[in-house]
Amino acid sequence: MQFKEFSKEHLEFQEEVRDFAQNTLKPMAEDLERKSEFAMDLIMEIGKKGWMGIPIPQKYGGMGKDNISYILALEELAKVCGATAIFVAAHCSLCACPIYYDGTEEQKMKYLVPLASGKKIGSFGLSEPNAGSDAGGTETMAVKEGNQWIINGQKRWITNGSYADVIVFTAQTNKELRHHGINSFIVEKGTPGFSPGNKEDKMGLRSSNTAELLFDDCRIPDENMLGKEGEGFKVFMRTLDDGRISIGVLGLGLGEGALEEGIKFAKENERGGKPLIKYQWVEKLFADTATELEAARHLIYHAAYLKDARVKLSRESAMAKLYASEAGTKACRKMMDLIGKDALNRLFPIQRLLRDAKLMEIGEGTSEVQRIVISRELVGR
Amino acid sequence: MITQKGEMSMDFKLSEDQKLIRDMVREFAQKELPDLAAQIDEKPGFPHQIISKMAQLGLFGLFIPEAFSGGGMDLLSLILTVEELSKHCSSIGIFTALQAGVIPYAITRYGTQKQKENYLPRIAAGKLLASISLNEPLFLNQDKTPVLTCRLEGENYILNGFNRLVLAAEEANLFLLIAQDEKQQWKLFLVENGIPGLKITGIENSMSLRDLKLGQMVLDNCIIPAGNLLGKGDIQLEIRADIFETGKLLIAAVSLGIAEMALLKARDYSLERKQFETVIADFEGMRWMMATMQSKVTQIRALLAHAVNLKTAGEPAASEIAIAKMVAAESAIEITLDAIQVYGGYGYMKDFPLERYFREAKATEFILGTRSQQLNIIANKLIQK
Repeated sequence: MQFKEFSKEHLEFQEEVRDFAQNTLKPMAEDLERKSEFAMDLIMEIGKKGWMGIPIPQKYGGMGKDNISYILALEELAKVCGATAIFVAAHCSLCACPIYYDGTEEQKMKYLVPLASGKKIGSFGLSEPNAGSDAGGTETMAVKEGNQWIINGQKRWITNGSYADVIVFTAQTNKELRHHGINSFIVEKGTPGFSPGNKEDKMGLRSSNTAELLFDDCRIPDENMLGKEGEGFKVFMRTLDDGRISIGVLGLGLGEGALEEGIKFAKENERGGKPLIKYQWVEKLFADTATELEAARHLIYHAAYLKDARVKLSRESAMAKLYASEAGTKACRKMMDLIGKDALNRLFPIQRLLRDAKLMEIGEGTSEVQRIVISRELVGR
Repeated sequence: MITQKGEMSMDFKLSEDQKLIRDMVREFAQKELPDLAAQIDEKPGFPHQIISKMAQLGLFGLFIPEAFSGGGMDLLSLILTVEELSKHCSSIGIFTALQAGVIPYAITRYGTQKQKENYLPRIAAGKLLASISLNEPLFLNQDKTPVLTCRLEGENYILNGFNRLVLAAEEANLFLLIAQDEKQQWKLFLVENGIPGLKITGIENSMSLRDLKLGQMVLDNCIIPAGNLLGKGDIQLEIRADIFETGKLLIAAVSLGIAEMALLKARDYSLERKQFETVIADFEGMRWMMATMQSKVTQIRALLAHAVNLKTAGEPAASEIAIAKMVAAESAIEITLDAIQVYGGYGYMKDFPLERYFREAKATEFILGTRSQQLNIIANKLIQK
């Protein structure tokens, strides 16, 4: 599909990422999955290409492209490797972007420049053991002492957590205010009292790192608060609005990757002496899957376009994420049905794509939370 | 339905004997299997200890006539057994479906007296482990080249070809194989592992069933004594279909067991997990999701009960069995994915068994016939009428 907003630059950039994804990343993806280890060399290579700061202006170390370009890149990466795509999404949408949109000029120079230029890895700490869907229930505390904040608490399921150099995270400064008492802060790797905890052993996205973050009397300077005091909730809600487009596009890309695998399989195989592609049920499978993915793509690109237009997009990004993540999982399931018994074999990428895709219905707000967001936008609170 | 105690009541009308067996297996499975399931998923290895405990309990002989040292119970008793085992460890459930169900059924129904005497008591005692390919087409290609061929030479048959996706290929002692002769006639063979010419050439790197190891078996001029021909000689493919039907009912029981456990875990978790200052079971979204899961479990059970009753009564049930098998697998996949959803981030992590339930449910879809193979059976029966 080609949107009329797509310029020649968009298409050239999409082609550049596609070339890397198909020719370099795809042949590595199975190996990455099997080793289930964070691929530092690959990350460095992606950083050198500038893809860790695609939508960040050049003066802050980024490529200075728009959000459409960024989303197109994630889509191409997700088609072949969900783990690599979610690394970029978490780094950029959840760490570099909030610093860009809400940070002071000093914070941008100190943190955003190395993040966007791929010299440092970023991460975002929001979820906690008891605060998943209910992010307002954050229990990590920040207590002011002089010109420092003392942080205590635990974050869980944090993408890039073990390897991040710069982490944007949330903490309560006043528990009685509940979500209005939440503020965002920046912490650097190596700060005394801060350490990554256990790594998660996951169903999918196995070479993507997911870890706990532990704060034990960790002191950070006042100037590391991100945004004004009392506005932390707004900061992370907007971060999530933006981030959801990137999770949605991962669902979309994984679904597209699955469809490509399905088509390849159907072209190469037969059943009962008849090529698979000659069966009507296979035609229906392809037609329905492609139609749903196309609809998802429109929702995603539209949300990215709104982001570039700097319009509030809570409803549209939630819709895009809800629909695209579910369409992605569904596409993977349908293609697994097509491939049949071989699909269970770990040598076929299809089962990895499905395991990866399931996370997109959970991360950055489950499908249930997206429905709450959309509905509240419709009826008002 | 789940009762307050977390028990699932049966919609099958059970005799006292059937209830006794179900309760015994339930207790055994709850005690022995939960840890094993996670452990053998992580570090694949054949669970010899559990298999011998099950043999001691008489589980492998349940469905074997008493005359051959079995328990002489009916198909439903075995269905209940496989369901209870699969709630905690589906690979043990699938293994039992073959060891205690498919192979004994084939030998009891179609074997000679000598074969029954030779094999059934040893299968019942767990001294002989029996298996088949979980899904191997009859033909290699559109020229109708058979996957496995046989030819008579003197007193013996010579078998050539292969079978893939053979469950517990390395550990099993006996395989039931189908082969075609030069006259395009089909024959079933009982082939013992370890005979010259039979080789296990590879183990699948699979998404689940990793403990029991799906293997590829190659037969290169294997000499099989004529006495190992199941029954008297040529068979119609209807006989193979009949054997598979029994197997498909048992595999549907595996799907059912996985689905029930996923629902139970989701229900319990929803009553513990607090978000927005209340347990998530208080949210309509969660309640309806779980209500939908429950209705799917009930559908599987009703379809399975109907198909088992027909099969036990000796009625034609190809279509009903295909429907039960297909819907059971499909619903189990949906239920396990929804259970992950109820658990949220925790559901995606290997600390909890939810993601394993999904991988296990997915396997039940292809065993003894994929969704499209079942649809073809259903359509064929429909059009014949």
